[in-house]
Amino acid sequence: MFRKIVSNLPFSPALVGQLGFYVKRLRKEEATRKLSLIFVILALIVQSLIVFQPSESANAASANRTAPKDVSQSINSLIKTKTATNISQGFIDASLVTARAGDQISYTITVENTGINTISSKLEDELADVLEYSTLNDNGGGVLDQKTHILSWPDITLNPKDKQNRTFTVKLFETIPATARGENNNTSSYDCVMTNAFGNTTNIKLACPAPKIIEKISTDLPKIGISENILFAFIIVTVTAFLYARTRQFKKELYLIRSIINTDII
Amino acid sequence: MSHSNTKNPYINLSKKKLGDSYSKAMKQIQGELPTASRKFSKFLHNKYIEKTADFISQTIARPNAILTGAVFAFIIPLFMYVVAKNIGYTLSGFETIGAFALGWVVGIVYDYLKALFTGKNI
Repeated sequence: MFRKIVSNLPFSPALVGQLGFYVKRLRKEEATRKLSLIFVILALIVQSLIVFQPSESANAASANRTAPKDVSQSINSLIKTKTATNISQGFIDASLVTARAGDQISYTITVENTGINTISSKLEDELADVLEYSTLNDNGGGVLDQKTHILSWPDITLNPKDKQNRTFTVKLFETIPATARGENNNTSSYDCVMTNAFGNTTNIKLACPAPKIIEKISTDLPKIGISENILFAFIIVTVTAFLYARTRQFKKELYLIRSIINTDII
Repeated sequence: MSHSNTKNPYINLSKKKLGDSYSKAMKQIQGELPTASRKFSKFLHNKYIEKTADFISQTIARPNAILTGAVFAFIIPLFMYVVAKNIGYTLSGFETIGAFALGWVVGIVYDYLKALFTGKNI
């Protein structure tokens, strides 16, 4: 545009009007580019904080925690199943709805002997992941080991085709904690899902607070290092500063052209 | 030789004539500029630099796209950094780039929609 106007101007005085419009456009562009440069510098300050003074992991998740697993005895003819019901939301399948703070969840574990012999078995359920977000309200006759978070019942004896079940209830905390997953985030610890395995696995999603959603977004982003960040910062600052300076220069030159026209030099 | 037309003030002249006219005008303007500014002007009005910069400033580095990109790249990572510091988790390092890219897209879409509704050139 600049070249077009300046090169045609001596032959077409009517372009003075266009020159005025172009100057106006450049003035607006200069203001936008100046603001961009300010925000780019501010963004780079934040970026350097992220890169050079990174937030540290609170390491909330225990380093010993592994993914929830079925700790009960495994016998071929013993069929184990588990169901979870959200009592507070109208006795519906808890894995189909998002549990809210204060909800009561009832778990029922069932063991069935499908074999032809009588079986004696231990009955245990690991609740470490569940108890990160809840407290055991009703242990259903079992005993909770506070260290291992395993709820266990006395050994059972099942005759062929016999079936037994146990029901226990947990109550979600009144405030769902925004505890970070920590560096040990390969486990399901503090992932806003209560996972429990007994035969089958039940996953109950939780209505986690906003910081956990931000944490999730952040952990889903690709990991990049310092050099990529420096390269990005360099390119952005260079381009923004160059275009701002260019607009300013064009504006200055057009002012000069206008003043030359006014004094009839051109 | 001079010809004015209120609808289209540009007249058909040979490339050489326009080039000479431009060089003459620029020489005169640059003569009135301080040294640093004159050097910068000469650099900017180099044919290739001028064409490349024109292309970049009208496509990928449009003013609104860069502005929204910069605003997003400042606000979103700052917010994420404060949250990460508070609850204690590490950031990926991609936040600034991602936020800038998001803002850039918003800026481009805004320009496009503005052009669509006002009928002006993008």
